[in-house]
Amino acid sequence: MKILNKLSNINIVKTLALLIPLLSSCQDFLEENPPGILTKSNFYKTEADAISAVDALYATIQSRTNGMYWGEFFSKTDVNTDDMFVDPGVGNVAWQEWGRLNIYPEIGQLLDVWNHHYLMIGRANAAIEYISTDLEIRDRLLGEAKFFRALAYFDLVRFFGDVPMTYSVITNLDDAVQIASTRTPSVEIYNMIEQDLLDAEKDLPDTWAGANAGRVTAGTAKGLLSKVYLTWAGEPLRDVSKYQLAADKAGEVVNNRSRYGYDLEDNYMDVFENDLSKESLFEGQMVQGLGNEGALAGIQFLPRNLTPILGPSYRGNALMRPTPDLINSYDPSDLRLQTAFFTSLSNADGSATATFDPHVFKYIEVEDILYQGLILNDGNRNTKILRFADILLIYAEALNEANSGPTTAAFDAIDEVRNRAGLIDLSTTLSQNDFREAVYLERRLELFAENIRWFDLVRQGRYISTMESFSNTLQDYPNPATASTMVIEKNVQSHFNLLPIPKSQLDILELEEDIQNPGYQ
Amino acid sequence: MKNKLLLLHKEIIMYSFYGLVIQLLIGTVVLATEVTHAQKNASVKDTNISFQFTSKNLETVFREIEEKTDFTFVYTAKEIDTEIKMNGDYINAPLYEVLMDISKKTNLAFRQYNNNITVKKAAYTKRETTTEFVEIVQDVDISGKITDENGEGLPGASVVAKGTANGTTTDLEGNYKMEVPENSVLVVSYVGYITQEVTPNGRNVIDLQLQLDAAQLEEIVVVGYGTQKKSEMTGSVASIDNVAIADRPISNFVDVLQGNAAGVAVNSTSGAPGSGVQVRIRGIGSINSQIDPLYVVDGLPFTGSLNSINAYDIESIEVLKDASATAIYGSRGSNGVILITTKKGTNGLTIDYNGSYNIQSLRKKMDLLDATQYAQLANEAELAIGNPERYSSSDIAAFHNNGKGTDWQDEIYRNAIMQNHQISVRGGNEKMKFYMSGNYLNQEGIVKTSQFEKYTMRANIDADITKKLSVGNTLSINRQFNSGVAVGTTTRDNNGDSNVVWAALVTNPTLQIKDEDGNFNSNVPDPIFDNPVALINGNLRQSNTTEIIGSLYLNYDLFDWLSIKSTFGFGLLNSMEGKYTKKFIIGSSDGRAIRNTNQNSNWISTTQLNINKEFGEIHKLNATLVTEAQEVQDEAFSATATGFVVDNLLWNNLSSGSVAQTPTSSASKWSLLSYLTRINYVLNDKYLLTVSGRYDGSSRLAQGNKWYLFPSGALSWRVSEESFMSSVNAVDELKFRVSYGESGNQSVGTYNTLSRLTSVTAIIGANENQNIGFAPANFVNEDLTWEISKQLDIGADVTFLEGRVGLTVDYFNRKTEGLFFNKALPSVVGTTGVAATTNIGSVRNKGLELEVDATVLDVEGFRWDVMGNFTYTKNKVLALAENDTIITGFSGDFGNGSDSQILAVGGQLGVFQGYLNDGLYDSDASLTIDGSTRAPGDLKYVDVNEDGNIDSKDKVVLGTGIPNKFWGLTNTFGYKGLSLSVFLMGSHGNKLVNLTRQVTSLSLDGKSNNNLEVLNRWTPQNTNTNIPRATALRPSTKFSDSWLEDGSYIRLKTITLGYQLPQYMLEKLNVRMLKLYVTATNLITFTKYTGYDPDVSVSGSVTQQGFDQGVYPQVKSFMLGLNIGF
Repeated sequence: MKILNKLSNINIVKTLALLIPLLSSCQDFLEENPPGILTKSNFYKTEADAISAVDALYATIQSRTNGMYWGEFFSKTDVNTDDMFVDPGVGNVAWQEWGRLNIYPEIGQLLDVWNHHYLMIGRANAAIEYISTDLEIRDRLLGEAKFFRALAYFDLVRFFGDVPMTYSVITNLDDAVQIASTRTPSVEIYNMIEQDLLDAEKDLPDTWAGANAGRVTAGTAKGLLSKVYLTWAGEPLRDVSKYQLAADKAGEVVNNRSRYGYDLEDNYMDVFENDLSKESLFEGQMVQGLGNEGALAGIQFLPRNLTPILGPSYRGNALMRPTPDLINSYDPSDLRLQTAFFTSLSNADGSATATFDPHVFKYIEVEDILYQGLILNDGNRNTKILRFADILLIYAEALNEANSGPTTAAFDAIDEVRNRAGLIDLSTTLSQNDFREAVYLERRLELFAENIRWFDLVRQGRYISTMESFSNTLQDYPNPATASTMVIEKNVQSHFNLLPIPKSQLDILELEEDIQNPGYQ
Repeated sequence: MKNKLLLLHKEIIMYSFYGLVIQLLIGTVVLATEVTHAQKNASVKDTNISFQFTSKNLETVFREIEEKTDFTFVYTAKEIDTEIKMNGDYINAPLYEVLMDISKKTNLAFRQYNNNITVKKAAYTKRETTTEFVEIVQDVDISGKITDENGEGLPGASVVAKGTANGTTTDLEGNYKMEVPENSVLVVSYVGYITQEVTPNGRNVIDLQLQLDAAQLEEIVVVGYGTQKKSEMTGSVASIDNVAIADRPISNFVDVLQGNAAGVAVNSTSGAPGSGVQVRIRGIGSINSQIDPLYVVDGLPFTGSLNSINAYDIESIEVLKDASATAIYGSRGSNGVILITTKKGTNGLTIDYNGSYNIQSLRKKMDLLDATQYAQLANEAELAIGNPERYSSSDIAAFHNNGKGTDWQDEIYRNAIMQNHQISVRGGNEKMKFYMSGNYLNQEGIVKTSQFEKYTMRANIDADITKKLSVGNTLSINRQFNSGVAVGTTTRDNNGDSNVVWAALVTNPTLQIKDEDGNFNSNVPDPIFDNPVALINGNLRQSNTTEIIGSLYLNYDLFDWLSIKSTFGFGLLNSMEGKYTKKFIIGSSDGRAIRNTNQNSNWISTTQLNINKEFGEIHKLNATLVTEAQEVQDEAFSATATGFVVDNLLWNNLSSGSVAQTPTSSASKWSLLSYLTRINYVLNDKYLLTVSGRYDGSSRLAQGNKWYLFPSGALSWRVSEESFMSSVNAVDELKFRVSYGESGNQSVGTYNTLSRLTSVTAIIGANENQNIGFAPANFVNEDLTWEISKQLDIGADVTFLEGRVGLTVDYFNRKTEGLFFNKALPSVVGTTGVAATTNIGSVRNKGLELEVDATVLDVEGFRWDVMGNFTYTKNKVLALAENDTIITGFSGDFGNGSDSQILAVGGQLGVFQGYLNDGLYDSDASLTIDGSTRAPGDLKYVDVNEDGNIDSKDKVVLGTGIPNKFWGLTNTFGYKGLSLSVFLMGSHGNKLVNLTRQVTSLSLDGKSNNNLEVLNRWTPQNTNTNIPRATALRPSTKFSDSWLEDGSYIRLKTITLGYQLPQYMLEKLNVRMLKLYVTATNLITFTKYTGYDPDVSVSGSVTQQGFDQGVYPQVKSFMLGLNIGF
């Protein structure tokens, strides 16, 4: 008590003053230093940082939250063609609309196409711009990033035509709107794609192995570039001078196959059953059980009714079923028809069997998935983005166009693909036009359900006509499992050579002038 | 004899509580020893001392005397002239003599009181008669009775010897007995009464009658960083006292606000025990940001869970509404502020027990098809698409329960018990006061297995250490257990949270709960839903939360007009959540366990200077200056494992699962630094002015944009004080108020203004390694600043008829500018998040509030009080990004609701947009919708623009999901000890999207069960109906007016009948108070809404207002309660 009484007013004030938060002087009280988050200012410095920045690009071709290569792609490239249709029982409105070609600027998943590709570009731009120039492996890493950037723009330009283009990181809101409002002519974008891929093939190694297997190589870049040239030469730009470049570039891959470690697998189904096989130039690696890293393809192609073998609870989505038109395009002896499609499935002990119209078997993991985990939408099969058979056919097609007729090398290339399918060599007397048709058909038979058909038809200038003449009922199958007379609806319109720019993206821009693709206004 | 024993018992309790308090109050032990009664002490005359000193200063002499004797000198430094050197030599001399000598030399006066010797300067110099300057005080016994203005004994009044801490409080009859130093002046005080002083003058019995203090009775209102007299308030503040809390079943104190305060809209998001409610003060002022008010408990901004505040500890709740009141909270005030004041100690001792027992049941059961009716519909649906019938007539004949099948609602709901027990002790004296309580709440949910349990403890202590220095603390500790079944808003989310409420409405009634083997049947034909009973038993959730919130303060009165107060507050919230999905639940064949833990800690330090000065009779000035710093930290951890052999271990042993997912963790921190001031100036008691400003800096904003000044001003005119009003006798008080000011909203996410990276998994390499990649996560807007809300308030308060009627009217106009807006960015920015937080747009809320408080009758013991409030609000979107309309909504399980709300300039918030239903197709099913044709009996929409096609151009505005009028009305009737309180409330003007009915009445696919109304479905024979045909292939539906229902309702929220024992019986029982009551809640509701309850929302988000799907229903309840006080 005495002590307290001794305290004078002055002492009390002094004591309390100590409690006053004298924080006005220390500015860092309001400074943010996130303990659990990396920021731009403390990243991109070390080799580990830089590799990690590039690895984020691989996520865009594999993770279901970062990209569309895990399964969504099919609706824009296969189910909207004469190859595939959506099972009528599918409740997903967006898929049904893609299948019936009811395509409009708000259609479901269209935005994903747009977003995921610009995401890939944004990550590539950030890596290219920010990775420290002091790093020895910078050129190689930039090569990988440039490949992804080229891949993204190549997809975009094929889907949408002229698109907004940026080759640097956007940091300002006004810049973002300005860039997004400007549709850069496709040819300029092709020039940039070419440059990126040339850089990539220069700075990347020929092969990768071990923990790096699956990364982009010089061969990957060359292979993609050959496809870029071939597309550039076709519709709508029709720069036929690019056929020679396509042939040259494909030739560099085909004729140096041992250098890059490429070749055809012995059996067609090995391509799909094996990961990172020698036939693969580039693929999205899928892993089951991690949550977001598995493939959707299995359940997408699986028949809906598997009750006899799996009970009523489990079923496929049958988002994509092959049309009778595709099935009937095969020679009955074609090994691809025999192995890559199926019309029945038995349970593990063989005690029960479900039968159905033909469905695609390429992606169905019977042993691994169906009979065990039953996690149907989380598959292990990698998504093939670029494979050697594709390059062989590009080579054949480009040679035929560049040389006004098929060369020996062109025949060799297509026959290599045909022979594996159990088909005999093409007649060497084919005219340029007959050979062209033969390659077109071969591409369809070889590459079905691999995100290629729509691009091919458009490039070949015959998507609209093909779809206009398309007419199938389910009874058109050689051996229909059901007697359904259902007509497969494909309501093509003349402007469907390009997809519409997603409406919500245009809405953001608040433009006076409509920059939507023709026909979609 | 019995009475004496009881009294003794009471005293023992009282003193043991004092002891407890003392233990809690470290640092005030000194004081506590004074509180206890003094023993008889030796006098300075009887104490001899031997010592010798030469040229020593006075302090040293005192210290030596203290060492040699039991006496202690009490003085302040300025009393003693330390320059004076003392000499002396004593051998066995009485201390009295020593002191006399010192007194002569120093002109000091000594006064012995017990073991203390106080030292004071002598009032005047009179060296000749120095004997007067050493004084010895003896204790004498004094007793008496303190009575109130009616002569009744006043229990709990404080009697203290003036200038000492020595005192006591009166007992139940108002009697007291104490020992005081002789010639002490007694100070007798009691809250609400004028404090009186009395000099015994040798008397040993002193009785005293206290008089009511009109000035003190005047209502004191808690405002930000202080209190104000209600008459001097310039802002708009709604007060709710603890009376409203006492007799209702309350698990969350926010329930009390519903219907009890004008301008405060309270809406339930779920009826689940322990679940939240949303509170909106004066409309909705933000679109994408926080719209909850700021809660401030005992002066400290509160970041914990609202559940942790024990309603029964609340003394009062104040809702700050206008800018003059909220601007003092600056960057967090724009959505209004709710101040909660917990109970504090009082003079005297009271012990209260409040217990209640409550039976809750489903308020309304939905009428669903029974098994036979369902089977008939399912068959019809299959036939419609050419399939065979699903149920043969023999199947139907064999259905269990006489063909009725399983009533899944009966299987999941139950009558549930809620009980609440609170014991509290309040006590203290002039020097120290305390409040302590313990509370236990156990609320079963009406969905089986759901339960909420809560334990709370509180100790609030205030103590005056000296006349000028006081300290105190608040401390609350609580632990909550929330367990039961998962109730998600959708069928099944990523965590396996199925919605059992929803499942019970749609599950096939022909199913038995279990099959012959005792396994749960899964729902056929569409196993998208689990069997509801399986969900209850297999989808287990539990969370437990511990919260510790406390504060310490130190207050020092520098002068009688200036005080400084420093407060330090601390809060810690720790929660553990466990989720387990058993193997028999669909999609979880391996069993799945999730463990989440989250810790939130915060500290806040506030130092304030309070100035309170009157200049003559004319000017009154009251000013507050504050500096404040706060830091909040969040840490979280989550782990998941699957692949369990057995289900028994739940979430308690993740390592027993064979597959572990990568655990996740996160941490964040934000801080706020503020300087603020408020000045109240009163002129002539007539003209009142309040000016305030708060300068806030927040860590969440970008460098250069962190600081903002929030100003406010208010003027008020007490017309009733004017001389010209003196002739108007009917009006007691009339006051006009006007205020304008700014407050803000800072609740943008942490680290939003930093360029962040997000981690992604990339599979690379022959062995499919999971490489972690880092990618740009967000687009940074470096110009981000506060949302600013500018509010004008014009109001009037009037009381007339001798205070029997009180009326408050307020008009407000609140405009929020620079709304936090997640502006969608063009995807070319290439970041994972393609939206940037920007300050775009503006929203206005205008409205009118009315509060009435009247005593209608007060005759012959009968009293009828009415308390009512009414609020009308209207909101309008004033600006968005140029030409922008924002489409939002809630998708629901069957889609199509996600684009049902539109936000457009000039429109309201929460506006629905959709198609107009045009009955059903009959024979004219030629019109195509989305390219597909429709059949007779399908839903038909109006082709508004008559272009022959139903597309988005045919959408029209269909109403809003936000009510614009709400009110509450409480009628209280009292007669002697009986009281009846009837609380009615209403909410009007909104539409609700009944997503449940969309499925149960408009989607007749035979897969999920339907409402009984589908018996009137379209068939070729029954075409005059709005219920579509049954078909297994349901054509896609569009969001139309048939999904919407009027959400208005009037509800008899509570009705309480209470009986308070009369005084003579209480005296017999020796209790202070005893009250019994019964309360019925949600007894009657008038509404057109056909869902479970119109007080509903699946989401608190502004952009998802008015959706109902599978929300845990509200309950109806009957409660029996007992309040007893000693």
